[in-house]
Amino acid sequence: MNVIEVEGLSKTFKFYRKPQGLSASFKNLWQRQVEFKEAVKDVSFNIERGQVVAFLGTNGAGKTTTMKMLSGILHPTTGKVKVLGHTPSDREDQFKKRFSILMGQKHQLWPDLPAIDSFALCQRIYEIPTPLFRQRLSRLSEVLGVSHLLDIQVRRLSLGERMKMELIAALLHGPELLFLDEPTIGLDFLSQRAVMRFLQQLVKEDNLTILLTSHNMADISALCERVLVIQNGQLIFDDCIANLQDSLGGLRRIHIESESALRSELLSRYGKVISNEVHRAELEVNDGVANEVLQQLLKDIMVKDVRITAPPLEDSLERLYQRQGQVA
Amino acid sequence: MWQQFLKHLKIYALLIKLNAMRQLEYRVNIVLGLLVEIGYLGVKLLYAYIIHDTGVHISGFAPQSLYLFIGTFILMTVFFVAMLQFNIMAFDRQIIEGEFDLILTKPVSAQFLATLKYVETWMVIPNVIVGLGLVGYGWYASGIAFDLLHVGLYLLYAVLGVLTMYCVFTLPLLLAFKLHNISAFHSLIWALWDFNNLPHRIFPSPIQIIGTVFFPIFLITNFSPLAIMGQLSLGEMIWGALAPLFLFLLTCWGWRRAISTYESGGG
Amino acid sequence: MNKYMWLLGMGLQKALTYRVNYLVTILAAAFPIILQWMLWQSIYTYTQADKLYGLSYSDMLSYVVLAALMAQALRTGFEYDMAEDIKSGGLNRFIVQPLSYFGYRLSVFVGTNLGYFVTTLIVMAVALWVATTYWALSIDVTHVALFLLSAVGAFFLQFMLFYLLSLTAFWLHEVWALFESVRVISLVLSGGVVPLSVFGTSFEYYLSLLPFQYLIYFPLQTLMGVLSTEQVLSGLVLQLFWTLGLFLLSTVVWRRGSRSYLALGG
Repeated sequence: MNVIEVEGLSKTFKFYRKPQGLSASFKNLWQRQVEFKEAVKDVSFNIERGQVVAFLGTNGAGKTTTMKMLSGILHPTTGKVKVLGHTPSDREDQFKKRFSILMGQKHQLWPDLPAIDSFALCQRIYEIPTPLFRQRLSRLSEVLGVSHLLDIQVRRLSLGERMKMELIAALLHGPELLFLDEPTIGLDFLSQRAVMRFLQQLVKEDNLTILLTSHNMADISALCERVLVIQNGQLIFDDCIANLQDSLGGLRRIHIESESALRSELLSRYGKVISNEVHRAELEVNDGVANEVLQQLLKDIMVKDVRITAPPLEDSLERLYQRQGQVA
Repeated sequence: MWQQFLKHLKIYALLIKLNAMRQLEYRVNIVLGLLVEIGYLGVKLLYAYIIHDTGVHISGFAPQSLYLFIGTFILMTVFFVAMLQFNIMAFDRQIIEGEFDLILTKPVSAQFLATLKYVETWMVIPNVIVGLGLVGYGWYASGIAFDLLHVGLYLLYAVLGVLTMYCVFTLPLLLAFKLHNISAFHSLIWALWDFNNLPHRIFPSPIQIIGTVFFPIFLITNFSPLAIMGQLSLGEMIWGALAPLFLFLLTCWGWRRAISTYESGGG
Repeated sequence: MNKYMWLLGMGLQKALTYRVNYLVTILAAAFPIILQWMLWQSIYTYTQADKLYGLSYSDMLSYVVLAALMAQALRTGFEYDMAEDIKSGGLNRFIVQPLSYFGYRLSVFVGTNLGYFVTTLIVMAVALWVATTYWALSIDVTHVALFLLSAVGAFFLQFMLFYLLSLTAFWLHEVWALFESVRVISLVLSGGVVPLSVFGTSFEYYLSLLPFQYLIYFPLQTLMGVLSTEQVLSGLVLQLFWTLGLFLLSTVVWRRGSRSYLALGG
């Protein structure tokens, strides 16, 4: 069953230019040069229940705009959106009670009060019955390991603890769908992992559907099976992560360790040298020839250790963006 | 409808409690806030003092009845400071910084959360005490009967006054959706508010009519004392009851429109 | 170009872009004036008195109008910027740059408020013209000259007062309430709402021991010719004395404050 259905979604923003100087400001009072920016162009995709999908793209690519349209904050210019069977821009209470949105930089907890008091407000707003509220709160705070912090002023908590509290606030009403906009921004890697592990558990136990944007590739490879890549407002990739690498003509990285010194001129005959630290080097070759190259290498050089890996996700993405840039 | 109203009322009660707790975390601020309010109270009482000192009758009202007006004004200021002031000041920031986005995803009225989230609690205590004292004294000294009818009448027009106040000051906030910076407008609000320091009958009739009919700030504090003094004509009584309701519907309609065309700030 | 002059220019430019705000504030100042006008009119009509609190009806009306305008002319706002500088580490810039913070603030204040001050003085001149023609207020040219002198003095006294007040941000977590309360109290005590004679002679005497009355009450009394030349001169000296006294106090406070600021690492 599809939780999110998006078809031909577009969003155009109006904006003005104002050249430097005061006189231009006055001119702008009566006459404005209106320009349009297509933040999202003809995007279509479906997401099934229980899926965890990453939304990738550079700054300003249109990720957040799309997410805002899916959560009803923005109205689409054209196109059809159905989320949990509702049209988000109708902003029905019944719809709002079934999802949650968490934005990394925007906080809903009151900084001057302990988190537990803000949770009480959530309870009232979402009309959560008290027994259910208590049960969810104790479960969530236990899993996240913050039960002992509930009565401390939020402003006194560390960033990671605060984010965990925000997560609890977003999950108290038992949403079926969770939008996460850069949830781990500014967190140290231990907190990042804790949050990600928690989300994984939720997906498994509650059959939660998650759509997340992040610049952190570790988040994504840990949590998501599927990525949507958006650039200049257009959806340029929609598949599982492994296929992202294959679709780019499948590159492989060969890591070599050797007792003797490795020379880049020599190595470049086999493939593109990514790095060479005298006794340790990394080569990039096409998937199809990886085995051949490896055998040749083993024959030619005194190799102590050798590994073949896929290139990091960042590299694949960079190539994807570059390729798209050339097309456009 | 009724259920929605009750739900929002319950949330508002909780908001008052949360704000009261939040403010208790900063003891020094409470003291300083009290200081501010006492300062403003002093300015308001300055008028009472001058009236007392000169024994002036304004438009036929003896000083005792004038205390009733000034006391009501001070009590309405309690509602203004407690319910509206900080929400108005924080409003354009909410839009610019995108906090409003989150409000939109909550299953409650966005207008309610955006305009009534902050409540000032402890700071208004001096106003409550002095306002009640002045109204009590004015009531007693003007020889108005203290019975169910008069108290009911006073409270009815006071509630309608609060409703009018909410509308008069939140309706212009809608400009923030278009202009993004409405700080100039704030100082106007303060100044307009002080217009209620004295009974509106003191003004020439064109101002009275404008302030009662077109931009009804005079409905906020004048009608409850006038009503119990038997100084309202039937037409004024009806207008005083209908106008706030009409204004409230207008405000809600304006908000619905503004929200439905709202374009979030940050990309 | 002198760096302080440049800052002054920047402040002026900023003020120009806020012209709309200026118009609105002047408009806003008109409301309390109307209210007081009505009040005094009723009072003088009711009591049939020639003089109340030592002022005739026309004097009272002129005073109320001029005091409201004077209060506008002395408007500040930099105290919030200063508190922000102190709290968010904006001061660091001044510790590493060869720029005195006091000089910086003074230049920006003069720059932002000069246009404002002068414009408001012009509005006051119009009000004065109205007052002399319609309310039979008598004004002497020497009084106007002395008034201008005391108004400039008031301008700097006001700066010193709020500069000193802003320094409390070194120690206070939240300054809004303090600023506002001082603003309101200073407005009343300086005679910005009603003439200080309304408060009675003994209270007026105690107020004369404080700096506030040199902001509005004293300049306006000078203008309206209530004071003799000797009184005006001694008043000007006292005004200067207060300004310098506050300046000295602020350097002491600044030194102590910046020490605790540096100790905290900004």
